[in-house]
Amino acid sequence: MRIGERLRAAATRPVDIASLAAFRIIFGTVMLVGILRLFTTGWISTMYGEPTWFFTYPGFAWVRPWSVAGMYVHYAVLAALCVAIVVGWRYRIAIVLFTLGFTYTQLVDVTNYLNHHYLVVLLGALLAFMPAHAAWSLDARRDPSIARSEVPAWIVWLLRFQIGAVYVFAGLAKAKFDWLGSGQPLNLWLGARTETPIIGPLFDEPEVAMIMSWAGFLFDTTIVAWLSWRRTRPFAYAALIVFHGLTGYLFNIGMFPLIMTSCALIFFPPSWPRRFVRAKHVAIESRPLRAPRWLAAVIALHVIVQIVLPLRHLLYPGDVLWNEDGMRFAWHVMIREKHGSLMFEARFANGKRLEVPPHDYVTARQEREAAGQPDLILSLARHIADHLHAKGYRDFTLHAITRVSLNGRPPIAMIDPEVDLLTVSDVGTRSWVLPEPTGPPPQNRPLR
Amino acid sequence: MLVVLASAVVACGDGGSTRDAALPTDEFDRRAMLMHLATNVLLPIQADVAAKAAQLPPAILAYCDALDAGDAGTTLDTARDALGAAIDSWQYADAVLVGPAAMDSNAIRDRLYAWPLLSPCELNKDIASHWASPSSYDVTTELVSTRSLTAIEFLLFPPSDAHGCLQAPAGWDTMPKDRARCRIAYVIAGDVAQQAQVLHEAWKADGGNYIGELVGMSNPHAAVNLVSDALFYMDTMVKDMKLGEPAGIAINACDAMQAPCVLEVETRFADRATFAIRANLAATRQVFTGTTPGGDGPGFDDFLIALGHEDVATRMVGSLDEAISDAAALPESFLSALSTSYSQVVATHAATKAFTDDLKSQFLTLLALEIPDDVATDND
Repeated sequence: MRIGERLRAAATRPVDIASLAAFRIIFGTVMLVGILRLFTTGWISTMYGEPTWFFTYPGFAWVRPWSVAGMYVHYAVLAALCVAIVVGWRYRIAIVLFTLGFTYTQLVDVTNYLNHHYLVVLLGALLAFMPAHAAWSLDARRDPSIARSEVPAWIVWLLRFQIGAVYVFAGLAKAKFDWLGSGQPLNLWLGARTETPIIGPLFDEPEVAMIMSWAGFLFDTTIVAWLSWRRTRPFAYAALIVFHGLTGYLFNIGMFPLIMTSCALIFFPPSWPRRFVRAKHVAIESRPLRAPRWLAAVIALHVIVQIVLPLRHLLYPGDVLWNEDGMRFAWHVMIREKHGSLMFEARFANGKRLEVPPHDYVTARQEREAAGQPDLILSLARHIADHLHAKGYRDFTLHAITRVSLNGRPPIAMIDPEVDLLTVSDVGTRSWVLPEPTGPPPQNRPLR
Repeated sequence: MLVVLASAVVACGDGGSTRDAALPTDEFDRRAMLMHLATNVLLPIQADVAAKAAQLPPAILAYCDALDAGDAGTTLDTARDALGAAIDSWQYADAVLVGPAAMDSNAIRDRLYAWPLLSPCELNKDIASHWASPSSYDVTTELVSTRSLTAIEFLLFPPSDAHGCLQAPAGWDTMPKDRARCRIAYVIAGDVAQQAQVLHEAWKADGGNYIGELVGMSNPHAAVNLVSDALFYMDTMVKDMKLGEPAGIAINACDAMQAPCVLEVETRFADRATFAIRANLAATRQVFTGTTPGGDGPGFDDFLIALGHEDVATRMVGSLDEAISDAAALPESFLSALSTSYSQVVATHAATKAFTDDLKSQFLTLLALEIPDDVATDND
C-alpha cells in the first residue's frame, strides 16, 4: 500500500468519539469561565467603553463595537452559547454563532489581540465542522439519528495539529539570541516576582532566567512529541500542568494556561474520557463520516496556512520582535518586553511643527500597545490626520517620534522620523521602520 | 524537565530565610524604598498641603468681612497669598499622586485641585444661587469643575464680570459680585481644607495608615508600581499640558503653532504656572532619587543602580536636573515667559521630554513596571 493510501486509511479509521465530545464540553466550559471573568473584572467596559477610537484590522475598518451595554449583552449571549455548546443543544448553530460572535469582539480593536483569543477563534471554526455533538449532547438525545460512537481519526488529528502548532511555533519563536543567549525578557520579568513564595528569591539570579528560558524553549518545541508518545504522555501532561500552572501564576496571561491545559487532553487516546464516565461505550450504527472534497480541500488549506502564517516573518527583513512584521497569528507568545514613547508631529508647509500626543486620541492601554507596534502607529497616524483635517489644518505631513526599548535595551527610534506616515502603504516592506537595536540586551543583576 | 528546572533553580539560590539573614545592610530593598518615600517625601507633602489649606478659609473670610465692611484693604492680597501657598503646596502632591488622592479616579485630588476642569458659567451660577440662598448651596454635591483650588483661583482673580452663560444667572446683574464671589470662595475653601485634612489623616500611621498599607502590600513590586505610576504626571501633565500646549509646541485649544496659547496656561488668573512646574519637577526628583532636604534615601535611581543600570539612572536624573535648571530660569510670570522667554519654555519642555522618553521606555522595561491607568488585562 502506498504511503498516501496508508495515510488515508489511518485518517479515516474510526476512533472513539469520546475525546471529541469531551473537547466540546471542555471548550464550552472554559470559554464560559473566560467570559464570566470578563464580566467580573469590568474589562468589557475597559476594552469597549473607554476608547473613543479603535484600531481595526486591514479590511475590517467597518467593524464597530456596540455600545458598552450592547457589548455586555453581546458577551451575555456568548456565555449562553457556551452553555449550549457544553450541553450540546443546537450545537451547530451555537458553535457557529459563538465563533462569529467571539471573532467580532476581536476584530473591534487590534489592541485586544491575544494569541489565545486567536486560538479560540480557530478552535471554534474547526469545531463548527466537526460532529462534536454526536455524543453526550442534548442534540443526540433528541435526535438519535445524529448520534455516533465513532468519528474518523482525522478529526482528532486536526485538533491535535491545531494545539500542537501553538506549542511548536511558540517554541520556534523562542529560538532567538535574546531568549536563549541572554535569558531575556525572563530576567526582567522574574526580577519583579521575587516575592513569590519559596522560589521567589531565586528569581533574582540571571542563571535562573536563563535556565527557565531554555526550559521553556525545550518544553514548547518538544511537548507535542512527548504527548504523542504513549510512554511519556502521562509525564508530559504532568509537566504541562506544572508549566502552565507556573506561568499562569507568575504572569498575567489570563485564560491561556487553562485553555492549553484542557485542550492538550486531546493528545490522550480518543477513549480517555470513558475512564471518568460510568456509562459503557455502546457502539452505534451510523453511516460513515466522509469529508466532502470541498471540506477536505478547506482543511488542507487550513493546515497549510497554519504552517505558513507563523513562519511568514522569515520572509520579511529585520527582526520580527522589533518591526512586528509577522508577529500576530504566529504564536509569538510572551517573548519580548517592549515599552516606548510615541509622539506624532505635524510638519506644515510654512515650516511650523505641532506635536500631537497620542493620549488625546487613545487610552493609556491602547497607547502602550501602539507605541511598540509600527502598524498601529500607522493606523493612528491616519486617524490623527483625519482629525487634523477636520479641524481645518492643511498642508502638513505627519511623522512619528518614537523611542522604544526592546528587552531592556536603551531606547532608540523605531519609526523613521523623516518619513511622512501619510504616504506609507499598508503593504510591502516596512522601510519606514528603522533597524532593530544591535547588541545583547542588558541584564538585571541580583538585588540580593 | 521540571525536576531539572527545579533542581537547577534550587542550585542557583542559597535558600530563603538564611539568605535573608545574611543580607548586607546596603542592599536594595523595595519595601525600604517605599517606606522612605512614603515617610520622608509623600507624608510631609500631605502634611504641608493640609497646613496650607487650613490657612485658606480664615484668610478668605477676613477678605469677605472686610468687603462687607466696605474696605478690603490688604485682605485680598493676603487671601491671594494664602491661595498661592496652597496651590504651590498642592503642586508637590499633584506631581506624585499616590494612594488616597488617586483612588476612585482621583476623587479627592479633583476635590482639592480640579485643573484643568473649570466651568466658569456653572461656577457663576453657583455664585448667584449661593448669594441668594447660602443654605441651599451644598459644595459637596457640586461638580468638580465648580470647586477646588481651581475654582477659588477663578473667584479671587476674576478675569471679568461676564457670566459666560447664554443666559445671565438669576440676580447676576444686581448682586455685589466681589462679595458674592468671596462668600462662595470661603465655602469652597472650607471644603478644600477639610479634604486636605482627610487626605493627611489617611496617610498618617495613627489615621488611615496608608503608609502601612503601601509598605505592607503582599507584593512590594506592585506597591512600587503604584508609586512609579505617579511619575507619569511628568509626561501628560507637565510636558504636554503645562508646557507643550501653552507654548504651542503641542496641539492646543487656540490652534496656535509654536506660539503661546494663554487659554491652556495653568492657573492663568493667578499666573502661578512657573511655580507649579518648578514644584512638580522638584517633587518628581524627590521621589525618583529619594533625596529630600533632610537627606538621601532609596529612590528609583537607586533601584536602577542596584539592578546594574547606573547609566540609565544617571541619564534620567540628568534630564530631570536639566529640566529643573531650565524651569528655574523661567520668569516667575509664566504668561510673561511665553512671550519674553519662549526659548526657555521650549528648553524646559525638551528636557522634560528627555526624562519622560526614558520613563516610558527603558525605565519601565528594566524595572518590569506597568504604565499607569493600564488595567491589568491579560497578556500573551
